[in-house]
Amino acid sequence: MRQSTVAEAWGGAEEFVALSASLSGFDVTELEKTGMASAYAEFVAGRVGAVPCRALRDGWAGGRTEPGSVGEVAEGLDEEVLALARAVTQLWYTGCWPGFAGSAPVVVSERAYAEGLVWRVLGGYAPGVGRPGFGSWSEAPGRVGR
Amino acid sequence: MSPGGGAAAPHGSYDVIVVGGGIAGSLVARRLGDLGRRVLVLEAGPAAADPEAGHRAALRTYLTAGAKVPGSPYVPSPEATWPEVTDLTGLPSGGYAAEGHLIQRGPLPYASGYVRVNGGTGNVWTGLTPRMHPEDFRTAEFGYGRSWPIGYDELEPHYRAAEYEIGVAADVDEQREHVGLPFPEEYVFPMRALPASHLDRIVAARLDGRRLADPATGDPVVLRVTGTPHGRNSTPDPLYDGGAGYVPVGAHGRPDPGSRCLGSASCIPLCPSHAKYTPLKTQARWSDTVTLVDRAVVDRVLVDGNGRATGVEYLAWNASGPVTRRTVSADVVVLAAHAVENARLLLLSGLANRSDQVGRNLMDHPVLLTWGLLPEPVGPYRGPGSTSGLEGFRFGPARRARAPFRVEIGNWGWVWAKGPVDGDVAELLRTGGEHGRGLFGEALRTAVRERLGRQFTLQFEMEQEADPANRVTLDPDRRDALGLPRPVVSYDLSPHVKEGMAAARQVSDRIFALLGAEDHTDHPAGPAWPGRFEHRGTTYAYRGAGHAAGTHIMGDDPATSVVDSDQRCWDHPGLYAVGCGSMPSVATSNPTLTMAALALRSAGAIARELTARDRPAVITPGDAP
Repeated sequence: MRQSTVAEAWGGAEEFVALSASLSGFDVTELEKTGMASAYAEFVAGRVGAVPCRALRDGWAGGRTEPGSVGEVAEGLDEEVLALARAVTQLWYTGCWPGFAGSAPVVVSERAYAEGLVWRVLGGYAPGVGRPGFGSWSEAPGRVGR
Repeated sequence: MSPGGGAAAPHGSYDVIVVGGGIAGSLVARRLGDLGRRVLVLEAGPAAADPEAGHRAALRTYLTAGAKVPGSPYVPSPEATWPEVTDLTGLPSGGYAAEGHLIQRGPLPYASGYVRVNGGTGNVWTGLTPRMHPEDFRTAEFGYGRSWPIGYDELEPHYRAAEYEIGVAADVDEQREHVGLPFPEEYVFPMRALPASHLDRIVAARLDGRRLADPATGDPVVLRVTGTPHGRNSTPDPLYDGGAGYVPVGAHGRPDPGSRCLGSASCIPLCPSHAKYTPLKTQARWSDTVTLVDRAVVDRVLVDGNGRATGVEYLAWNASGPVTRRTVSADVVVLAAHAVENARLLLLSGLANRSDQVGRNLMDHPVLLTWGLLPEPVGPYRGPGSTSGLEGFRFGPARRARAPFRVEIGNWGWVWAKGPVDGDVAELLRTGGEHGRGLFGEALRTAVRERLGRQFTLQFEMEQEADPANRVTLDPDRRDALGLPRPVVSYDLSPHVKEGMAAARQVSDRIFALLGAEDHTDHPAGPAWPGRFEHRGTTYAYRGAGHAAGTHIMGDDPATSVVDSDQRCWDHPGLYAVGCGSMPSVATSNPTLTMAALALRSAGAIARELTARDRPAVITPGDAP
């Protein structure tokens, strides 16, 4: 593994967020709001190096036909690129870089854990992070997919 | 409390030595300290020098832990390791492998862990505080296990004392009516019941009043979603204590009228808002006559020629210096180090074992989990892990035929069955979609909402009876970092327990049908299910509830039990073994409250013993020469 700059790996921070939006189903504004975009761009580049990141960027852009069919892109990708696509998406959803290529899972930071998109989908908070208030659990779940 | 400070040597003499700073030990120390007794608490694990800094560090460690297991807020030191649930792995062929602190040699794995830091497993407990039922004390009358030498009535005032010390929130009328518990007429709990979860309400709407035939007897069981008593802060009841009311205890033991459970959904392992009781709250209220020494692993209880306890030897360790051996003496020694570690210490000391029951009768609550998806969003991963349950399978004649069980409604999705949500997301990314190669984008977002938002789990907690063959022993050939033989567990489930699991599975099927729920229960051979067995042609799997009990079992006969009803070792005046290890039956209730009640009862016995010692010898005139 070698350190790579965000530019080398992704073409730039904006390109990383655009790719992430396509992978995650959250738009760029929603992703930016987490405050994690540049941290993740650097983290992934540092973990896997620039070459696989570029392969993902190119493979993803090449396979994508139209908005809404992004799930089908997976069909056209080779296994290594697909594995990285899954890992980056998992990172956005949980704040945890999964046991990728034999390594142990790593929670990037407290904030990364708290900002996991899965909790946004559920309209709640990562366990141990939120203070929704006494009796909040009695209410019907919050606006789903907020 | 007087801070001992690292591996500081205690000074002077003590009335009482307490081994272990968990719930039982902290309560005993508090009671005796309040009476002016000099108490030394020796805690194997580290204590935070500053409680607030310690709390924050534990929270940070938990939030950033890759594996969010019960012990994840704490990093074990080599000198005081503990078993963690991840020490067990299921094998592809069935069976299991174990590593770590506990050596496992049973046909089935003992699937619970504990924690060795100041506050013990009481830091990470779930905070549920149901009482045992009067018939739970008479298990042997149902043809299995052991009965207690005392009954509910004898323990009842101590239950009330424990509910005060822990700060219990519950509805006394509901406990009376739907659990069948007797209470004094005017009694109310310190705090009102915690609100039921949205999931509880959905389940109640479909189940309440429905009848199921008990799988073992065919007798009808009425389903009723019933609130569970909690050791976490709710709204204080102004009627408590004859109208005196109750003030919730908040951060670091401070009275905090506004402290409430804020729904952070991380009771295990850590309540960020200090609403859940932990023994650190009790420790903060210790009198000045109580001294805590942390990083002190007791490995020998000392007795005199008459067998009376005189003190302990311990190994003191700290981060930098060498391990040193120390001796300290007292009139009374109280072992409160957890069921497994209490047994280990008695075995290391070669004491209290006239009955050959030390370490035997290890019990827990083997838990059958069933999980699925309800038709509608239920709001999982919010609030306490479980707020309600079904109580109808805990009591009555059916327990002759099968282990009784309590059904907890799990508010945290599938986390106990399948691990944190990370696994669900990974699965959708790996195998979701039409082509089975993973979902991305909007399709993933929708699938995550559909999959996670409707999750629920039923947690069937089986009573496991006392069986001398389930036991803790020592292996002198396998030692820990301090050179002490590691504990070995031999564990199995009886046909009675397995019949309980089979009945629970049938009950679950009926409940899922009534709920209109999709059942996703599946426990394939492999790493995630080390506790797996076949019974009458069906495969079942279980988790451990972390409720170790029975290893220094209580009885009314020194030939067949280790401690008497005061938890005093029959063989050694001045030596007490307190904790769940004393319980002759573990019933179907989470055992902490019962353990706390027993500990407070024993504190009374110890106080009386010390008073008797203080009393000057009576000299009558007739004795004069």
